[in-house]
Amino acid sequence: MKRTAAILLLLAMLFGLAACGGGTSASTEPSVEASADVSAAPSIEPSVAPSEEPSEEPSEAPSEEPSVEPSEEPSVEPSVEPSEEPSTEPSEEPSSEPSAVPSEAPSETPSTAPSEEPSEIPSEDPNVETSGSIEETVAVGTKTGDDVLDDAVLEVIEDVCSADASLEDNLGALFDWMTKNLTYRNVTVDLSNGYTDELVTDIAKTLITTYRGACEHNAALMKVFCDRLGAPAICVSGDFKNESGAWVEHAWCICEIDGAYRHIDVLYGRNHTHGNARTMFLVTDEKFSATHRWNAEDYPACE
Amino acid sequence: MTSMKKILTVLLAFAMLFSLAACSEAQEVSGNSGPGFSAADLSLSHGGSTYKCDVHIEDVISALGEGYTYSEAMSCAYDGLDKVYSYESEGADFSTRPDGDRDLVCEIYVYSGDWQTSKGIKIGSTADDVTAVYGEPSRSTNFVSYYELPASNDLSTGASLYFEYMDGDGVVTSFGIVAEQLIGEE
Repeated sequence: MKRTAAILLLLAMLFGLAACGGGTSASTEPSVEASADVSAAPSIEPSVAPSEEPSEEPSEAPSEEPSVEPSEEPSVEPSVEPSEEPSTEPSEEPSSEPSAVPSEAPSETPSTAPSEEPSEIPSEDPNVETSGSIEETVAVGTKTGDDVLDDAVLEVIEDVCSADASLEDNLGALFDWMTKNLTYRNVTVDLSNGYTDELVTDIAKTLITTYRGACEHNAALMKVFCDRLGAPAICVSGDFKNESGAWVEHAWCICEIDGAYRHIDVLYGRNHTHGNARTMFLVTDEKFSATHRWNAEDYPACE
Repeated sequence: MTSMKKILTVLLAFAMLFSLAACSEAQEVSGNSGPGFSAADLSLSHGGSTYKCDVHIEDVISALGEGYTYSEAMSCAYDGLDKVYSYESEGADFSTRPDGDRDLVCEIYVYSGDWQTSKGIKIGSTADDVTAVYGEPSRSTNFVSYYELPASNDLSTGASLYFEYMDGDGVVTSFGIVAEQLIGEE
């Protein structure tokens, strides 16, 4: 009898577990699904049916807008002739960038008028943080004074830099992080006063907090990274030659590392080198001038 | 013998109840479709129409009209002109990239009005609302959360949906969608 009871018990539990297994096999875990082909199905679609997803407002009646077929695979052929006479003058067009800078921590860095003299890389600020280990060993350079930006910069440095790595290697790691994590956004930056500390802080903060920005944003953030690691840098206004041979207004930075000056162009490295972004990291004038031009009198020689 | 049968019956009942209870708990988890993000979420709606990236800008203009302001500049990322069509009254900017002699929408950024995502997130929604329907973001800061699809190649950046919380209080102040950036083809 005991044997029968044990067998019955076992069968009952097996039955229960089998039923349970059938339930878990239908699991639909939340996930970020892989894209099938994003470009294959874009359209401006009339809202024919209310969304099945939760909405805080009732969906309106179906639109009368006609359905628009998705565009064919986009071409990258140029749509315009090479630009007119290139210029290294800063744009005087006011910024059309949306107000994307966090409001809670306004820049503490005073704005400075652009200098008539050639730009000089400021010497390293002795006011450095030494409270944390990464700050004692890696982030030993100058802060911007903006808490939001400085904290965000330190967070990235902690993620990608190493106390055992050289300054060049750590700068390279930050360059790589920028090329892989930041995306291009077409916005105009008002450079009528040049790259003031205030502007550099504002646009670097916009980029690191939203992950999107134009060449000026990339130049500014790279400068901030360089400064923080003790390789003082400046932003450069110049031009690069695009695939059509046209000169395009552009921005990058020059940093001083181990007593030598070198160009760093994050956005060009990311978007115009077919995956060889590092060819735009710590570059001499001679090599850089193949694709870029700038007023050499305004900036240190990178020899 | 009778008491033995009773004991056996009770034990059997407990065993089945235990198994079913465990099963029920598992089904409760597995049966919840839950939050998530997919390519189907890469659209924004406004005024009864739905807008996506990678369409020609003429399609947007035919839907929203000519009431936009326009700016352009040689692109630092693409070969040609970057253009922005700003519909201020609708609270939206449409950025384009060159596509031969036409322009493809590469980003839609909305900052006011009655725009909403395919899952009903609007300006004024909270970060918790966003997480509840899309799950944990691919990456985020205190001011933005990104939901990204994998890129089609190592040199590109996947298409994304993002939410900005620029007041730092976890309330959506703006949001947008970005097309995949095919860097490797430039």
